Amino acid sequence: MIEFLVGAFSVLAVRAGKIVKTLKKKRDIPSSAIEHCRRVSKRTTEILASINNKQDVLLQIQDRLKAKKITLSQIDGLLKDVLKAYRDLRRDIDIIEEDFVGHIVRYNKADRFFTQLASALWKETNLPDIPPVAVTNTSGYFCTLADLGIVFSPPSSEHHLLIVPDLYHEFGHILHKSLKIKLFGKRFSAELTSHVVSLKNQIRQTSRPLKPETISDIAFRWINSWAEEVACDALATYLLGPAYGWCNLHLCLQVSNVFESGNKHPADAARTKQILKILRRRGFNDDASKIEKLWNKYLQLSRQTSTSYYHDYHPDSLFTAIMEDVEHAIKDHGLSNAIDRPTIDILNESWKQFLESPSDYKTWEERAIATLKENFV
Amino acid sequence: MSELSSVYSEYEKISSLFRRLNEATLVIRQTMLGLKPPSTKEQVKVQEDLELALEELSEDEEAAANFDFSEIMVQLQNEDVDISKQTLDSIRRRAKKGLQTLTDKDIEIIEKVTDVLDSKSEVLFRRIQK
Repeated sequence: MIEFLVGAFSVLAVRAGKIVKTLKKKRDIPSSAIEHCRRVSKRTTEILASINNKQDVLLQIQDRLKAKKITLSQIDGLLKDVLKAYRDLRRDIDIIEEDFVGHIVRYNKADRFFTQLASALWKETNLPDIPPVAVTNTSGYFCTLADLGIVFSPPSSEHHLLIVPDLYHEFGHILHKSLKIKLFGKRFSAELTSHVVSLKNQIRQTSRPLKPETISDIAFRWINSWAEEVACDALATYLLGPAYGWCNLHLCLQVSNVFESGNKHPADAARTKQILKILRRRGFNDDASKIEKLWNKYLQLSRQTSTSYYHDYHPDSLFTAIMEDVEHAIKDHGLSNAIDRPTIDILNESWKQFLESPSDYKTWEERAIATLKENFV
Repeated sequence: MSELSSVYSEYEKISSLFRRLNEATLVIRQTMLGLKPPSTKEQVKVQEDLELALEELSEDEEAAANFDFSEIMVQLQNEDVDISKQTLDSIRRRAKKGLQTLTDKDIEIIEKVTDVLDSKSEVLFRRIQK
């Protein structure tokens, strides 16, 4: 078993070494992507050191066994620890190889444009550190592996400016998870505690038929992921403006029940309500009213209605608390709109063009993308 | 954020906790068997990481609703592993004095926690790779 494990670690070491080599020699990509390659390469070098260390431990065990200084029964615990470490290291190498290096190796023109677009948007709102690598080939919608600094967007999204505002939501995850800029905290925690107490009081004082497990589930979902999702929506709306509101409406058209929540996301109806509130708070009353009018029509047409416990799961107070937390984070970290923001202006203009003249929109969009590409060269 | 982003974040948290705890038992057992121990600097790092990891686990139990670890704690409780705040705090206090002061019982508890974390990491990893 020891020899077999030593061999398995050797195979892993070769893979880690190859990753480091591949990432170090990659130069024909934007500078932000090169920096992320350097960081992932550094992380892989650390993994490689750990692989070598475990291999060394195994060889020492082998030597001591041969010298009869220890017995087989004594090494079980340590061998099990080494085996668990192997599984952990192998999972890490698999993820880095498949979800980062694979995309860097296959990096194409569309990825280059999307990475440059992401960089421009990142810098125009004064976000810290370096912008993420953006690739255009995810099988679902936008997603982010924050610690690897990579954002995935749907195929051919480089031709569709209307969905680009969602990049800002992904930026929120990177700021919160990887760059440790807390988008929510104090207000949210206090409000969640207060909401839980209020629900418990309803059971005690009014004998409301609400199960304690439901209250735990509400708290768990908010802490586990909902608060972050709501904070990322708030950040995107604050930094981008109406384009994010329109983009959200566009995305909601594909949802069969906007009142239904998931384990990882609150209901789209509640998220939309918050986005409209922030748009109004920022003075975009006209856009907010137009979005709301279409939204109400959409609900009416698709006959979507509120689900049980909807208001228990989506109290206004929590959305407001997170909105205020995000406002403070923006202020504290200087994440604000620069005066010169040509790329953000194009995203807002694209929605304006689409709404004013849908039939001519495609031609306008092609021109806008061509202009962006010229600017990025 | 898609399901993938969220699962990946959870994976990172769980595997980070796993790594710190597993490294501690590994180093302790290495020393017990008379293998070449890591340098003093590395041992101090492992010790500090263990203390922090135990703190995260016990804090989590206090917060009750706190994200990913609550599921892990429930699983451990169902397996009759004593992971009460009191127990975790006493292991942490001993760890503070040096890794070698940890008892066999302490190591056994940490090992059971890493077993559960390893399984959970594997489940999340498979979801990422789907």
